[in-house]
Amino acid sequence: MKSSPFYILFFTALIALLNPGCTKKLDIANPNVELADSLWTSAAGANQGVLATYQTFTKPGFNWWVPILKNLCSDEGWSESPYVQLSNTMKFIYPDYNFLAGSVRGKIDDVWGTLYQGIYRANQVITYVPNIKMDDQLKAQYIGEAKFLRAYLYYTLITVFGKVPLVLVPNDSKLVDVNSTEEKDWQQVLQDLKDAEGALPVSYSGDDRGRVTQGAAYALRAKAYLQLRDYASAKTELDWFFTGAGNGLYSLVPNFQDNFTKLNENNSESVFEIQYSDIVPFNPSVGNFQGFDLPNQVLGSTWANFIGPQGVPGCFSDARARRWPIAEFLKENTATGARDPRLGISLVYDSTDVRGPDYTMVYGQTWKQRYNSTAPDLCWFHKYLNDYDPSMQNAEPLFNSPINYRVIRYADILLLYAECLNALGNTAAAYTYVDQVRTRASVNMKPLSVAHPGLSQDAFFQQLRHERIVELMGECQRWDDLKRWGDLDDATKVAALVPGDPEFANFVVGKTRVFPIPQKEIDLNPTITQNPNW
Amino acid sequence: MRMKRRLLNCLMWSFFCLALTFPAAAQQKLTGKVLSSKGEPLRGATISLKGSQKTVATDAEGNFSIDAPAGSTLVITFVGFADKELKTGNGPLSITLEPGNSSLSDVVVIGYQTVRRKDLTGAVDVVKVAEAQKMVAATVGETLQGLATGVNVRSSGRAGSEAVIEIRGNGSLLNNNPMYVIDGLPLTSANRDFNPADIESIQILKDASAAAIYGSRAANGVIIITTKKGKDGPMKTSFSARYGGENIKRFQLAGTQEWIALNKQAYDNSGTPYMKGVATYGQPGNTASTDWQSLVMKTGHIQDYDLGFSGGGPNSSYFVSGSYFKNTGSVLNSSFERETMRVNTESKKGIFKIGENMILSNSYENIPQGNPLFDMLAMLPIMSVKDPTNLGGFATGNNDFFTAGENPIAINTLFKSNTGNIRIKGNAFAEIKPADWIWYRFNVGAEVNWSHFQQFNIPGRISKDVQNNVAALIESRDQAYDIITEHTINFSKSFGMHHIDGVVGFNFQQDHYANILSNGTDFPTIGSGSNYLQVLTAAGSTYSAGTKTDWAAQSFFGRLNYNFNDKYLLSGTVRRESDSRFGEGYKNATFPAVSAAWNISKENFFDWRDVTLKLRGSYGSLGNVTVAPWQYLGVANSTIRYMFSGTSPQVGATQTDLANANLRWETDNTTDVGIDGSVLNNKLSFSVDYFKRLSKNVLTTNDPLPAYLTGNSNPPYPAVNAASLQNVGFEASLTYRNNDNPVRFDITANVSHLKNKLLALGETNNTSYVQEPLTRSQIGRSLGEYYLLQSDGIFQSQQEIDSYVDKNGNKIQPTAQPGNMKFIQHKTNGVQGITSDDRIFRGSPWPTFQTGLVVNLSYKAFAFNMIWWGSFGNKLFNGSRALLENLQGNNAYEKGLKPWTPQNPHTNIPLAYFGSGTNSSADASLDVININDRWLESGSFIRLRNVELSYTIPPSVLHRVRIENARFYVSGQNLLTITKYKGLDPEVANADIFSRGVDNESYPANRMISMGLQFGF
Repeated sequence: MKSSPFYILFFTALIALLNPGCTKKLDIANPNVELADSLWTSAAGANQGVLATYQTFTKPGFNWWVPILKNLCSDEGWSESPYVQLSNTMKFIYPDYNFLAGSVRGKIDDVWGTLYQGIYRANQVITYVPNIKMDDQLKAQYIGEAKFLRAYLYYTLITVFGKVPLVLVPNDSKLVDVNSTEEKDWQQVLQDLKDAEGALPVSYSGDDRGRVTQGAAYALRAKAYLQLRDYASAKTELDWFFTGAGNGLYSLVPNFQDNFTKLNENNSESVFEIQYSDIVPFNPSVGNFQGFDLPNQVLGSTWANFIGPQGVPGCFSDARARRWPIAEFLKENTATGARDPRLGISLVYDSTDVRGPDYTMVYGQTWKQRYNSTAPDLCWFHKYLNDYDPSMQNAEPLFNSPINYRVIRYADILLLYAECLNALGNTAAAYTYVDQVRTRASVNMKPLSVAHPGLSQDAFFQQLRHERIVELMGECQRWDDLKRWGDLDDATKVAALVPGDPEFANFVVGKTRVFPIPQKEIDLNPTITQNPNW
Repeated sequence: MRMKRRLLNCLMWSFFCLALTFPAAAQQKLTGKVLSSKGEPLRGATISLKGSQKTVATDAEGNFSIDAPAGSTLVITFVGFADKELKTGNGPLSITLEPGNSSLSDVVVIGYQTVRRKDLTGAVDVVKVAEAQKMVAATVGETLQGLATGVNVRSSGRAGSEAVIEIRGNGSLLNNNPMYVIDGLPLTSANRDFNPADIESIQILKDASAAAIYGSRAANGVIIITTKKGKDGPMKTSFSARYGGENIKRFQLAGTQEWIALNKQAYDNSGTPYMKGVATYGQPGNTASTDWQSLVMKTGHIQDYDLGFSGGGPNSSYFVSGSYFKNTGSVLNSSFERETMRVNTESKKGIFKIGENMILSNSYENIPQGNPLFDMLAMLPIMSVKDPTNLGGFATGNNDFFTAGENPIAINTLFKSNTGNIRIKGNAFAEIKPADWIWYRFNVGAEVNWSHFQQFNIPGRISKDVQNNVAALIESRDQAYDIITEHTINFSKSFGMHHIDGVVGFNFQQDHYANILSNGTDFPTIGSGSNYLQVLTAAGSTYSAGTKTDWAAQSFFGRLNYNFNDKYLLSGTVRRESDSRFGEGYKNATFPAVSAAWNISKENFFDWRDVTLKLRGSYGSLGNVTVAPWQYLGVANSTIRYMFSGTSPQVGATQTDLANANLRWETDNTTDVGIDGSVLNNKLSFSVDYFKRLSKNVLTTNDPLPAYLTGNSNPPYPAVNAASLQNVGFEASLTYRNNDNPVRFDITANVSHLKNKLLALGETNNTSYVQEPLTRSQIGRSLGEYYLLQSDGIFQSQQEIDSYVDKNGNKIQPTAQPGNMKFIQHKTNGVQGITSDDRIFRGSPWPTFQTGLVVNLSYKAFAFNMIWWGSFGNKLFNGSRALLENLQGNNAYEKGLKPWTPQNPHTNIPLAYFGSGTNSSADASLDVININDRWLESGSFIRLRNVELSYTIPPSVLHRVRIENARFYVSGQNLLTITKYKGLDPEVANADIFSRGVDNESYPANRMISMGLQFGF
């Protein structure tokens, strides 16, 4: 037994080594990231949360898909993309109910997910920022921005999908109203915008220019009311621009083209503008595409690559413009008898240059050189292309267009105000607002009061339809316009669109005004009901 | 929980009792000599004192000395000879061993302990290292194919790539890699930085009872590797050199004229005007004829040199080795090089022993860009390689030569990418052995790794669709270390017919990883040429990022083995583990296991004298860590950037995904029943096992959350421990050896059958499968089964198309034309036509059974060795054929392709029909769409994995030149593969667990011929 003490010593030593202290070494903090809880404790964190919400707009699910849907589903555009599901979708042929939830190419195609991603981010700001101890005015602004952005994302969701689940609180699936109605969704949009109106500043200075403003909130709220065909309430909102605090804040820029280039961004005409930049170069070697939440991610949009004319290197030409609007532009000449200058700025076609195909330049080549054809269907959207810059004539668009999206322009506000006044029976008062749009320095059409004085309420409405086409073609307005005007609720009116856009032959009243709720979502939550007739 | 704690207490108590009860017996020094029956001294024979862990080895003259009490029993074992037991007397012993088989007496390492093979109660495979080392391979894993039962190895032929190893199927959706334990330390792996020539022994622990001592990371099996040690005696030098050539199988591709004819046929059938490159082929300036395959593939050269020194005295030993390995690769721009140095030493004095094992390695790999094996098939033979009008000077597809592929020569010339790795891996230990039956060991191990990745891109264009690349440098440096501290106490004691041994221990492990990544673009050129500065400081713009992870784990563990008269064996293991990678409430877990064995042949009623028979059974629980550190916490993603009117991006941050605080260990519950036995006095031995492995709490990132919660509508979803998998199978191996005749031989055959089944997938009831483009992993079926449209031949006439109607009389394929494929409508939802709803399960990527065969023959100085491997009953999706037979697009075509025409109706190649966009035809698309079963093939094969012929120079010749032994050999690897599979290699190594049988131009195994020599002096 002489060695027993030795063993006992052994064990004591061993047990001493085993027990104490060690568990502490298993508590290791993460040095790479901030915990979500700690983000929402400072003003700086709140601002980062707001920035992250805006960043949703850099994702292709937004900046590629939303313009595709809004422009091509309307009778302004169509697609002949070899990406068959895309072109079929624009033809209202939609066999795969998951297509807009990224069923084919993953996240890049994910319209539904991207919009809800933005809502998740806005919801975090709206839920957590109120508890942060910080400057009250700034706090109100951040919450106001998030509410505006949430409203805009819901606005987009509703106009694409109809009724959508209403999610207002992050990280709690129990608080989701999965079977919200379109009416309830709109009410939420209106409520958020009401809150935003009261919280947002009228303007920003310095690097903050480009954040959403009070004017944007009034404008979007008016547009929401208009989609609900509540012209009286819409007018009340728009009054802010003319008789309210916003009077004099906005004006049309003399040069119409300044609304679609990067030369004069956040100008006096811009009511709500989404900011894009090419300050981070796109580099295929590094693969810093849009939408991946990477520090070197590009901050431009992809839209230009997908609408760019066929054959231009780097352009996919997924989107085409219909040619019937050309006739709308040609209906009236300017005060000096020239062609409406907005035509060449709005469309790329054989006579974008008024002198015809020999002079129309398409990225460094004449139309004739490039297409040697005047085939009646060739026509592309021109706004937001970069060929206004001579140095870009031979360059490829780099999936990184720096041109801001002018989501709501003052010209749109003027036309909508006129629409409200006319709808409320005050046609005479509406003229002056349309005149402002027509007589913009670089446009120089005769005032409507001169060209078509004394129009009846209905005739004035018909004239407004024309004015909106020539002013706003290719700016994602037409689909909402058609919905608002009831053109999509009536088989006869839908049939009237077919000559201009044969795809409307596939349109089913009572069904295709919205896309189906993605089947994936219904599979995961069978209590969600599908949109009617899908 | 309480039960487990009690078990642990029990273990501790029994140890205390032992420690205090048994006094040490009187010691006596015994000496002796071990000889063969021919009277030659046997060097390295093992003499062990029965009932203790005390062993010594004989020196070069066969002499040994051992401390042993009088009247105790010595067991003498030596490879190739029958074991001998004898009682000690007083005088020096002279022991003669008879030739025979002794494998049952081999000592097997089972984790913190060694046991005699015949005392095993769990499923352990002992790999014959000599056979494994016949393979030319950069990693140990690759050498195991065919040599271990139930171990499936799928190697990729890319130089420096590491094999996919699966032991007893897939029990996890995220990590199925086995755990490696090298010289007792559970460190990362025996990856390519490890020199396979340093290995002394390999054991594979397959069931819970064997592996539970390693607890939390042992669910996928454990590969225990022990490296060589020096032996008592003067310095021995060994040198080996091998040189070989390798290549991969090639496709038979259509040449230029045949290609043009096929292409024209496809364009004609769809009424598409020929592309300009085809229309004007043969005219000046358009006469290129490029064999892209020959440009991409090459003959690789392999060099493998190894130099070792070993030796020692009675109280110390050393082993020092150096090696150099180089594989120049069989594909463009791929090569691998490695240098290693190892030092293993051991010294003892009295009751103390210290030692260390350490390897230092340096490796370098060139990594091919893109996938050259795909790119070569995407290029057209009528294209040239170069085009001076493109930046960088290489031709790419354009409207005249329409291909969307990347030029493999361009990408591999303009882009250069490589990885260098310096690694130190080793351990040092100190042991105190106060008595024969107990010893304590303190072990510290570390692995430190520095790696450096670099890619430089020269400006240029590589494909039609990707913009010109700018000069770019991407560099990434990683530093990682993993440190383990371990205390163990082993004991071993016999009393009467009872024997108890075991181990208790504690282990603490810390792991650290840090990475810094930087890239830069816009580098200035040097002078006027196209040489670029290649340092980040020269870059016009740079970007950098970094990350750091740390985790730590600690555990208590113990094993107790009880043996009654070698008849009944019982073993219990438990490991209590704590890991920082899990959240509160989930940090701790216990992994217990029990096993038992019954040596029936030791029973009195068992009459057959030269027969042994043992029954084994085990049950236990193992873990698998698949979560990364901190994954259980919700984090603010601060890698988001946005800006308004400023001039630089601002930092944004938000939570981008939900966090799951309930992350935990994946748990495997394993049952194993086995029989081991031998007949004919050990000439024929066999082993059979049945196992059932049930994996629970399997982590899945495929359990969807509604997208409206966070916007995430595509996997990966937040990880949840919600899936469950089952692997059931049997394994059998049979060895016959005959050393009685001049022609000595042994044959080992093994066969295994495995059934993999997904039992559950997610918390959401509506998740019943994971869909990949070609496969669906569905509950109740195996992972990665093909889910495809079922084809039914080719429509021969319009009448056939018109009469192909559904039950409502609607034409099923109304737009088809003769020559299109016919598909079977399976859906019942009333939707007309053929759509993705018509897919059905079309086969499994899992073989029904796999088998290995090892044959060793020797006659005098000649030896011949073969290793065969066979795999049967699985299906593979041939992605290469999906390109080579696709006449709807522009790519390489297979030679001799004869598509359907009215004149050629008896074919399985449908109508050639070029088209996309406006020229597309729905049915022509169906013919080539990657959801039909056209390219699904049988994956069965038999392969001659290795064959070797060697000649050992007789010692009588060598003595004159003072060389102890010398051997020359020539060997061939993968020289023969018998298969119907039309791709390059049926041994497909798709690392995606849900697409394991999809051959997306994966790198095939190389065919290799090599020769070498080995010297010892």
